[in-house]
Amino acid sequence: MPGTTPERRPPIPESALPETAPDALWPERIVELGRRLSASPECADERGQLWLLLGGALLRALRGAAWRQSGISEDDLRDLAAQKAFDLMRMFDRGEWNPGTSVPGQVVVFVNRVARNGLIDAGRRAGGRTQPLEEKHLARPAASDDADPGLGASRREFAEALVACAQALKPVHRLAWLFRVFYELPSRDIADHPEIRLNEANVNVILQRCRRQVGECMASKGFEPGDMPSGCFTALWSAFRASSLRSPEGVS
Amino acid sequence: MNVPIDRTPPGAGPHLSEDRCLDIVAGLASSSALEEALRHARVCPECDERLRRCAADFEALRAREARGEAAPADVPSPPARPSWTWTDPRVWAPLAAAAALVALFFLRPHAPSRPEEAARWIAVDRDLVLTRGDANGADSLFRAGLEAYERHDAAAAARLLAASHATGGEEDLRRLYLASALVTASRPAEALAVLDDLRPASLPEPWRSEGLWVRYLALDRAGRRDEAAAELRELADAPGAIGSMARERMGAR
Repeated sequence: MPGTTPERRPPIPESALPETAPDALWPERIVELGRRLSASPECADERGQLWLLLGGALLRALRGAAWRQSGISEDDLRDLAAQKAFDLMRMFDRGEWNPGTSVPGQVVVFVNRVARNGLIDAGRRAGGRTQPLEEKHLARPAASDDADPGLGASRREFAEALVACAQALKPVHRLAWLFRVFYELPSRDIADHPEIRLNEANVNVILQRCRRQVGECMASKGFEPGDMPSGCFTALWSAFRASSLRSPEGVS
Repeated sequence: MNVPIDRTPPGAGPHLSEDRCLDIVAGLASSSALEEALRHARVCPECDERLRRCAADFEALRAREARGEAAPADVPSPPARPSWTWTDPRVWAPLAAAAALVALFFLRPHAPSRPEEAARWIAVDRDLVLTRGDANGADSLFRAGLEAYERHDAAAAARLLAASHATGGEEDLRRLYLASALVTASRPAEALAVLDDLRPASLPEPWRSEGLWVRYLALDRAGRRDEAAAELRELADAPGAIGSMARERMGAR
């Protein structure tokens, strides 16, 4: 902007960006999708896959950038990732960036850089309220607590009961319930989700019904839904979502 | 149908990295790698949480994709073979007449904006709006103002929202809905004053785009055409419905 002093970007050290596992598959998939789309730009399904994967990779980088931005919520981070993925798709369409001509490592570096700059710009727009994330906020895998066999057994029982109760819900209702209870998605996102496609009012009614039904079912088995232990998500996801993955062929 | 529960004793499998989680939810992991990862996540609270967050991100992105936020405007659509040619007068004569009418409309000196241009009502999800900030911050006037806004009563909404009080994120939204009501009530200068204290770009979607659109309308209706045009150009890059409207509006000019 004319007449304004250029702001200096607060430094985010490269070391703060997430390290990518050498066996990560998503960078290779982005390269592959780039190649396919270069050959056939009209492939809508592959465009969608590329956008989704870029969005997921950007979110991974945003979360792992070791920076906490005051006032940036989960939803803001997702909006930022969606916007940046959109920008990358535009660059791809204009021929300014083509992952199909890169190697996976270059894709990782580029995506990380886009995420980092996006985060800095978002922080600046929010008034420059950025502060480095302290070490204690960085998620570090903890040792599993299966040293206590009693705890593991009760957790498994709870998860089994919850899977059985969720099994009784209609598939679309169960999905909406899963999205709210485990993913904490707002009703609008649930309503717009391609596997749901309902209006928000319907979603809210369904969620209320599901909560009551699952609550009664869990109570009949002697559990309180509020006591949900960790591990439940994976149990439900394995039971109801793992089979509906977008690319079932998998790559190893 | 009984869903099988894995009763395998917890193994010493590796923790799930963010990359592994992304590979899993994107459907890239092989079935054996998936099985191993899930077996570990069932007994590892950290990995269960990491996988949950990654899956939530992915599904939230899918919802955005379904809303059209993934599709750039300039994506070339597959060319359809025309059954006519531009040299055919049956095609160009009516189009030329229509173009002349459109040109006449737009070439009128300082044609005032049509009232319906401003009548875009931002969707109100009261639960969502009133829970973005301090739950106790919103007063009854704010709620009444939102109700008036939902009824499309611009004058009442402007009056009530101007007199109301909110805190935190709710205050930003109070200003946004107030500015929208003021523009709709043909009070663009007041709307701009309200928007001056609000940075629409700092709002989350969908309010960010809506806020920028309100600002564009206010500038346009206040006669600040150059600034409005600049705002419109910015909006044309936005995803979703607002971006489409902006591009349509730019195309019409």
